[in-house]
Formats: sequence, structure tokens, C-alpha cells
Amino acid sequence: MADAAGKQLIIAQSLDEALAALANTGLSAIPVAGGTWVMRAPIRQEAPAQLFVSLHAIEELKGIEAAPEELVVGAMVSHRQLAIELSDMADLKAIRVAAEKSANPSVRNMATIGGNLCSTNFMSPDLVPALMVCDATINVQSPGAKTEIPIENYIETRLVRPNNELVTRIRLPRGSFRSTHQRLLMRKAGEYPVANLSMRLSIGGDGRIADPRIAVASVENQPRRWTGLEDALRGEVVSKVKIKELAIDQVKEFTGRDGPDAPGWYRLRILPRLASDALADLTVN
Amino acid sequence: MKRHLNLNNAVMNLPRRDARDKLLGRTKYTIDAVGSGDLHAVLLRAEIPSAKIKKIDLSVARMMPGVKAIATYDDAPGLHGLGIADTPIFAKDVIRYHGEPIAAVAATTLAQAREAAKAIGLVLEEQGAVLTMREAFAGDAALVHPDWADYEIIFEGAERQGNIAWEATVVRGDTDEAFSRSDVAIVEGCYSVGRQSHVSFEPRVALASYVDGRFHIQTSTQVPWTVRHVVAKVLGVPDSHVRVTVPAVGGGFGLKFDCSLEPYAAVLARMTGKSVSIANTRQEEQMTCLCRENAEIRIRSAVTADGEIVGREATVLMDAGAYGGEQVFLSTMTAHTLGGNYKLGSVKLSSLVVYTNTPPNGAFRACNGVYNTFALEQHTDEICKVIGMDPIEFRRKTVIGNGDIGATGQVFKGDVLKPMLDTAIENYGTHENKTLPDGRLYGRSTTVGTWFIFVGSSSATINLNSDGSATLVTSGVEIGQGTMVQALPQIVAANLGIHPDDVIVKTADTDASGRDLGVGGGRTTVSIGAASEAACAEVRKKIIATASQLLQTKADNLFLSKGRIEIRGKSGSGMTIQAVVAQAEADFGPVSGSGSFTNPGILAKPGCAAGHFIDAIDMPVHAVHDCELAVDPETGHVEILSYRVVQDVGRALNPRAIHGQIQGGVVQGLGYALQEEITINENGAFDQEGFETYRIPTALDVLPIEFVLHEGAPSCGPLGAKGAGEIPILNVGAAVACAVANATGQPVHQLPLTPPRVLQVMDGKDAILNFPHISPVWKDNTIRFA
Amino acid sequence: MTIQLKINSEYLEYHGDPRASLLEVLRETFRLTGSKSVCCEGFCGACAVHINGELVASCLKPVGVLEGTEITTIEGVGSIEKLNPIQQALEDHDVVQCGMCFPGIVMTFTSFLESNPNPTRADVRAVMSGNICRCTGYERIVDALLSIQMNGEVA
Repeated sequence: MADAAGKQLIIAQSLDEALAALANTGLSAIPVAGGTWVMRAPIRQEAPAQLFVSLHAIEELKGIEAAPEELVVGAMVSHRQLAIELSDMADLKAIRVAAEKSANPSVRNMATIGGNLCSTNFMSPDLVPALMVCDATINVQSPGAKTEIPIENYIETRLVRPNNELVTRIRLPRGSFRSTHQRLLMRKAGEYPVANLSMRLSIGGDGRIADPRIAVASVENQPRRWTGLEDALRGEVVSKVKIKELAIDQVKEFTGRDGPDAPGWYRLRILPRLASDALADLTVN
Repeated sequence: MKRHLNLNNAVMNLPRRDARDKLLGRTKYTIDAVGSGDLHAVLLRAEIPSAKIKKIDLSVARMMPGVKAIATYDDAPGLHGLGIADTPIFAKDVIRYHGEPIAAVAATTLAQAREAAKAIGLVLEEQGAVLTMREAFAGDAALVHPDWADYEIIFEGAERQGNIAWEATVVRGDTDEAFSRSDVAIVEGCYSVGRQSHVSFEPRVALASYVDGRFHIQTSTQVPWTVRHVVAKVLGVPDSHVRVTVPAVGGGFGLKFDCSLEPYAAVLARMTGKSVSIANTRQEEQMTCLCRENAEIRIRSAVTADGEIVGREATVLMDAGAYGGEQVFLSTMTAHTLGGNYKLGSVKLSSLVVYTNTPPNGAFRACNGVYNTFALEQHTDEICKVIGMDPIEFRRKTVIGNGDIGATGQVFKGDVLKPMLDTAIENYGTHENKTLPDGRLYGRSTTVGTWFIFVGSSSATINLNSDGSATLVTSGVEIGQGTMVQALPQIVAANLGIHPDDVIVKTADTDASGRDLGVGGGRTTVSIGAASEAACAEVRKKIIATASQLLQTKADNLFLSKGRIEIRGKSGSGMTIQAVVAQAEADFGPVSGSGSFTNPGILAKPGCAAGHFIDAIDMPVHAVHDCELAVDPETGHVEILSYRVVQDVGRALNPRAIHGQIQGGVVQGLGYALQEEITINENGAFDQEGFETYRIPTALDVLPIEFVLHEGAPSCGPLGAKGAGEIPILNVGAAVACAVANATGQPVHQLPLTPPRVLQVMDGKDAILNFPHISPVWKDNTIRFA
Repeated sequence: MTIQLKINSEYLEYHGDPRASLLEVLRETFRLTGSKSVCCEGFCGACAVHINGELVASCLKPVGVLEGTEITTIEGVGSIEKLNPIQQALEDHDVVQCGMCFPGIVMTFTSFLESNPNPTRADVRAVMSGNICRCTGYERIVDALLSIQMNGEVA
């Protein structure tokens, strides 16, 4: 089955065209960014959507604009482009590491930041927790309306967002923070992380932690902030040993999910190590 | 006749002639021919593990677009198998495993075939399934094969009963007496391993056509003659009505050491009169893989204070899955692996092949040798702890050597393992405790292993061509190991005094060559090589006779070298091989020769072994592996720091190719030891359906393997060579387990040692102290002796 | 819907489902079987091609978006008479075994070495994480690839 014009794939030339196509209630239509999630439908035993709406030609979704206070990233920017653009930015290092380390070279060439954010059934995204700690704002467009949504809110509502809406740009505030991203796999590469953790904080002149933000993905079905550990760390002096102790104490906030890749107890068991590795990375200089 | 040659000319790093096309993407594997035939076929596979089939309704499916034929059991009746004929091609009345083929649909396009398969109506009555061997043993267990007693027995001598498909036992000496001695320590252990999947990149695939009243099967297989026989049997035609050809194969590792999809393609080709191709999707390939089986082992030994093993008893449960298959044959190998390596005063072994309602298992590179070596070497290290002996010292004292007797009473020739251990110590040093600066735990192990070269029937023909080249015709298949394009042409060339580049190697065609047991188990170099040498000898005899006439010189004075037949001591005085061939052709016709090879036939002690296909191994092959690793105590990750091998090769015909086999085989072993895990869910299906969740090593998970090749051990192979492709994987599970045990101070009883399992080992939670379904009393685990 | 595809400098027309993967179209419609279908989910690298010079897993790219791009497959890299430097190094070191993963490895390293002519061993292994091989155990392939920089020339 195809759309009214008999098409099964359209290359949208504008946001309006894409949104109109996605609103077609006559058949199942999905936006296609890098394609790396969508094209695996057969492996997931799913039938492909009847209409692919490719976003790759829409100008508003491309490119990265750098300003002193914020970086604005188009939704179609690939992992590889993101990693290159962010290579010198210590405050956005979490995003750079997530973009650089996830998957493999060819998938990093193809997969986009928007796609990562919108693949709601994907339980192990690397970019999403990094965006959460970097206080991202998500720009979305629906027919006749543009909205800016703070990342926490976006994540909370991710599963119920309307079909005729597209993420257009992701805004990242700059500042004198340090951030990083840690991921744990069973092998050294080539698989989704069993657990990952992004962290952003500032360190005051007194050596104490200010404004800690920690986000975790893959441990549960959806990514989330580790508020218990954030609260415990706020105002503490930096210490790898201390964070491990605090993390062990605060792991109870999570319910580890069992999956074919790892049992839930293991994800919880290694979380404190991810947290202390993250802190160690942030205090290297 | 070998005095006419310098056979050392066979030794060289001949590059492989098929590399260029492979690097250009030009090589056509069978999977690349899919779509070149008329029709595509797919299988309708069971989605539950155990059920009665009440009805199969093809009426809707038959009418769907593009559908040309649908086959079910009645189109290909009969049972086949190794040892016992228990396996139907299609499920007949009963589903025994998730993934079992129920019907095959042939249609014009793949999509049409798939749609039609979905439209086949099934009425099933689900039954209780036994999904584990423990369940299979329970007193009230459902029988996977209620009619087991009626099955045709192909190989006599084994006990069978209920869910025990096959029992192989060894009894030599009086173990009761040994265990009751007052001067022994008794050490016991239970071990458990999961399955391993081959993940050959080319899936199982076949094309079948019906030409001039015969079936032509093109397939990705290691065993063209097995395919020929099984397809013929299934179709109810004489074997000679089936021709099997095999192009380059994209990986086998034992997965393709069996008939697989060929019968379905053949049946549909006959039904439609058209050519049919069928291939497994990656998901089918993964979920119906003929895995290295999961197994459970109980072993105990009575050992004196100075390290003499006066008694050893062991029971091994081997999960066959729903049908006996390769495991029936492999029950033979417990004796030579778990019962191998060491001098034993007395020994009792039982291997039970157990039916479960799970996908059938099969052969995978060194098969049960891999887990038997793991259990044995861990057990050995535990013995060493108990009696307070250094693990290397114990092995040096106790490994079998010249004149020592194996578990089945065969007498071993040559001292091989002990000198190999000495080589390892000399090259790799003795064990020292080390502290790693990053807080990880350091561990090291030295393990020994014994496997066998799978000798048996092979035949070869050599046609000597008028241009001085020779064509070698065998049923050998190039699956990536290189033997067909390296060792074999090297052997033939040296036996004819020509260059390997002038040896044409015909790809496998059962119409062209004689019967062959297949490629795998190190056979290609030894068995096909020996048959090729025998064929060369016939050819050589003919041309030497002709040359002797032409050169007016006694045959004894003639020497084949560099494409010429020379008079010994008078280099340049002879003639070209082309000239001799021309004369021979004129006198007698085209020059060709044939040769055969089969088991030399080493003897076991009569009465020891029951239910064994191989009582004594004709050609043992040994390995010593040394492994250093680091364990992260917080995450359970294991990093291999060094991995070093001493491998018994007999004679290294192509050292560079052997390097490739060692690097590749050890890495497959690291996957088995550390990452590759298959779990089976309550639906009797594998949880791991593809590359995402079944974890094979990536480039970042490996390291360069160091090695020393041990030459000179007795071997009946060409130039004294032994097959080198299988043995590299044998010890890896053992090496890693023993090193992790060394690092953590805890015994290791299960593989794979994934990071979560390593943490459980460290927490002391991994020790399987007992299998309730495997009695500590040895004879209670047998049918024969209970 | 007809899509015109430029593959290895040749224009070919495709008339089928635009949602089909490039890999499926290469192998089944155009019989360009050098790119291999192994994992179908972007993990193994055996289907790697170049699109506008960039490494792409062809199993994950819907063919319908590719009009106007330049697609290079393994069939467009090297020839029987002259292998490219990556293929030549792999042949010289005699590292090929079953061969199914090598087209993907050649594609990966042809593009990688163009922009990174002097990689370290660690760099090469990290890039190779996207190309799985079941036969060789990798290290000899890495040795072969590292030898290329010593000769100085690249694709």
C-alpha cells in the first residue's frame, strides 16, 4: 500500500511537507532520519511502515550553529559530525563522547541526534542521557506551531508525543561546566551498552561539587536522572572513593531490567563504578 | 618411490590463490547464486517446542500468488541420522523443537513464499516439553521420542532408553578398588557449559535442480557425500541420482558437517520441475544452529600424594536437542578427551546423549573436546590444590607419553605432551604471582589438551596434463581454512616435482571424485592429503617408467624436480615433464592415477569401550596453552594479557597458514570462554537471535596469539603433517577458566565467564556443588551397568 | 516509482519498493553480490559501501533516498589487474580465509586510510570494531593494514 500518489517513500523538501505527510491517517507513516533504527524493523519482526518520510533534504534540520551562550544542533546532524564539532568543548564532552563511542563507524556516519532522541523503544541510547545532563532544550515543530521543550519534559512525554511533530533543533547551553559520558559493555565494542551514565558538574573554588547532573540509560526501560546521587553529591568535596560509597547507597533508586544482554542486578552492581569513573574523568585536569 | 623426490619442497608459505577474487568481491558463494534459479523456497517452522500436529491445511497457501509447490512430511518421508535413524526432514505428526521445519513453500519470489508460509493453517495440540536435561531425567518426564525403541539402529553396540538417545561407556580396571584405597585423596567436581553458535558468515543455503533425471544440488556444505546420501534417501532414489557440487564456502566450523537445507530444495525441485533455492535468514541460522552442545559433567578422581591418578570416574550429559545427530557420534570423544591427557590407573566414563525439546545440536570445531578439556583441566588444578602440587609439575609427571595406555586401552606412541610442556616453560617462563597496578586481579594458567584428527575415507585422482600441470580431483571443500588451496597443492606438487601453482584443484563434485567423509576435524590435510599422495604415487610410477625408457637410465637414478625428470647427479641432463607426458600419452594414453585413504586402525583394549564409533584414535593431536589475564573485581571483565600456544602439528606444511588458524581458532575459543552465551527461554527458543545479542569477539576484544609449532610427533599424514585447524580452540575454555580461578582464588565451574558470572564466581555464588540428577555413584548414571 | 542510481560510475534504474535496503537492491536487482548480507542490522560491516565517499551500512539505507548520490561498492574498488593498496596489502600478507568479511573490510579501510594515512594499531583496531570476522581473529589483518602506511601510498 502506498500514499495517494502511489508513493512508499517521499523525500520531504520542507518541514511543512514532512508534517503533512506524517499526518496522513490513511496509512502508517514514519519519519526517516539516518534510518538505522527504522531499517531494522524486519529484525524486530515488525512490518515496515507504509510510508517513509525522509528528512534528509530539509535545510532547517541540518547544520550546527555555534554562539557563545549556546550551541544549536540540527536534528539531522550525524553522530560523526557532532563528535567532530564538539571536539574542543569540555562542557559538552558528554555529548561528544556519546557521539564518538556509540555503535560503529558506519552507523555513526548515518545515525542522527534527532533519531536517537526519537527512537523511544531503544533502551540503550548514548546521546539521550548526555543531552539530559547538558540541559538541552528540544525545539519541535508541528503544523502551525513551534515549541521549545526542556529535555526532562521531552523525555517524560516522549512516548505520547503526536505523530505530526518533528524535532527540529537541539539547543545546548554553554558554560563553565565539565561533563563526561561513561558506558559499560560486555565486550569492548560492537554492542549496546549494558548501562551508561552521563555526568555534568562544576567544581567550586573550594573544591566542592556544584550543580551536579547525572543521567543513566539502559538500566531501566527509559533514561532518567539519578536525583538521589545528585542530591548526595551536591556540596561534597570531590573524591572517587566517596562517590562510590554514595552511589552504592543511592543505587536503590533504580530497578534493574533483565534483558538478553544482561541481568538487572548486574546493571545496578556496576552503576557505582560508572559514577566514580565519570567523576575521575571530570577531575583529571 | 619417494626416493625420487625431495618432499621437503612441500614446505612453503604458499599464498592462497583464491584471495584476490575474495578481496574484489568476485567470489560467488552459494548464497550469491540465490535468485539465479527459478523459484525461492522458505520453511514454515514450529513456534512452540512440543506439540502434536493435528492438521496441516495447505489449501489457502496453495492458491496464493506465485506459489508453485508446498512440501510436507509425506513428500519426503523417512528417518535418517548417525547411529540411530531418528530424524525426519519435516515434522511428522509431532513437533519436537522450536524452529522445526513443518512445511516448505516454493514460489516465484521470496516475498510470495513467505506470505504463503504464513497462510498455512496449523492445528496443534501443545504438549509438555522437556527443555533441560534435568527435566529429561525426571521419573515422570515426557518422552521426546516415545517410539525410541522402534528406530532403525545404524551403528550397533550402544544402550538407549527413553530420553537417553545413546550411551557410550568405558570401563578399564577397578575404580572401586582405587577409590577405597587409604593413600588417596578424592577430588570431585561438577561442571556445566552452555551452547556455542558458529556464526559462519555465509548461512546454510542450497540450490536444487532436476536435470536429465538426476538431482543437482549446489550447496554450502563441508560434506558433499553426506548430502548426496541423505538427499537420495529422503527422496527415495538411488544415491547415484544425486550430484552435489560445492563452490567456495563462507565459513563452516562444523555447522555444515551435516545435510541441512538441501533435501527441501530437492523435494521442491522435483515437485515443480524447476530449480529452487533456499537459504536461512540470519535469525533462522542463529535459532536453529547446530550448536556445540550444552553439557553437564560430574568427575571424580582418586589421586595419591605424589600425583598418581589411580582412579577416575566421570559422567557427561550431552544435550542432543530434539534429535540425536552429531552428539550420538561425539559421545565417543569423551573417552579421548575427558579420559585423555593423563595416565589413569583405572577409569570409568559414561557419556549420555540426552533428548530435549530444543533445537538439535551438532559439531563445532573440536566439539565436546572443548568443554571436556575445560572440566578436566579445572579438575586437575583442583587436584593440585588438594595434594599441594604445582600444576605444571603435576602435568609434567602425569601426562601420557610413549607406551602409556589411554582410557580405552590404546597404547600411545611417542612422547609429545611432556616435551611440549617443556617447550612452553622454556619459551614462556614459569608462573609467578604478579600484582597489577590498577587493582585488577592477575591470573595465569598452563593447560594441556588432546584431540584427534578425524581420519577416514578419502579418495583422490590426479590427471597429469600435457602442459606439465596436474589436476587434483577430490571432494574437498574450501571453507576458509586454506587447505584446498595451500597444503594440498603443496603436497601434490612436491610429490610430482612441480610447482604448486601448476596444481589445479578441482572444486568438489560428487560426479567427479570418489567418496569422502568431508572437510573438518583436520581431515583435509591428513586424509585427503594421503589419498592425494597415493594418487601421485601411481602417476609418478607411470612417468618414471616412461622416462626411464626415454633416458635409458634405471628408474632408481631418476629424480623429479622443478618440472623436470632429472638423472640423479647430472642436473640438466633429464627432460621436461611435458616431454615425458607426451611420450607416455602416445604409449599408453593420458596419464592419471587414483588413491585412497582410510583409518589406519589403531587398537583399543577389547571390552573397554561400548557404544563407541572410534575405540582408539588413530592420530591424536595435542596442545599446550599458556594464558595470562586480568580480572576487574568490580565489573567482572576479563582482559587477556597474553595468550601463548605450543601446537602439535607433526610437520608445518604452510606455517603462515597455520598462524592464521591459531589466531582465528584461539579467538573463537575466547568468545566461547568469555562472551558467547545462549539462553533458552520457556518457549524452547534461543533468546539470542542475531549479532546484537550473541556476542562474538570484535577486533577490540582480541590480541596477537604467540605460538611455537611442535614438529616430529608420530603421524601417518603426508610428510608427517597433522591437521592444524581444529586444535587451536581446544584448550581455550580451560585456559581462561583456570586462569580466572587462579586470579580470583575461586573454582570455576561454568562457562562462559561473562562479566556477571565472574562476579558470581568472586562472590562465591557460582560453584555448582551438585547435580541432583547425576548420581555420585557412577554406575547409577548408566543403563548398561546400573 | 523509478529511481536512478549511480553505482560505480554507472547509471542503473530501479523500479521496486523504495523502502528496500540498498543491500537488497544491490544483490537481488543488480546482482552485485560483492556486498554481503550477514547480520542485517548494521553490526557486522559485511555490507559496507561508500555513499558520496562516506562509509555506510547498505543494509540500513533505504534505496529511495539515494538518487543523486554516488554509490561505490566493492565491485568498484580495484580490479583483477590492479588491486587498490588495501586489497594489495591484504593479499600480500595472505590473511584472507573464508572471505565473506573482506569486501566490507576493504570498503572500511579504503575510506579510513584516505583521511588517516598514518593510524596507530589502536586506531586500526577501533575502526575495525565495525567489521566482524569469524575466521581470522583480526590481528593479522591489522598487521597487513598497518604495513600500508610504510609504503607511503594510499587509495
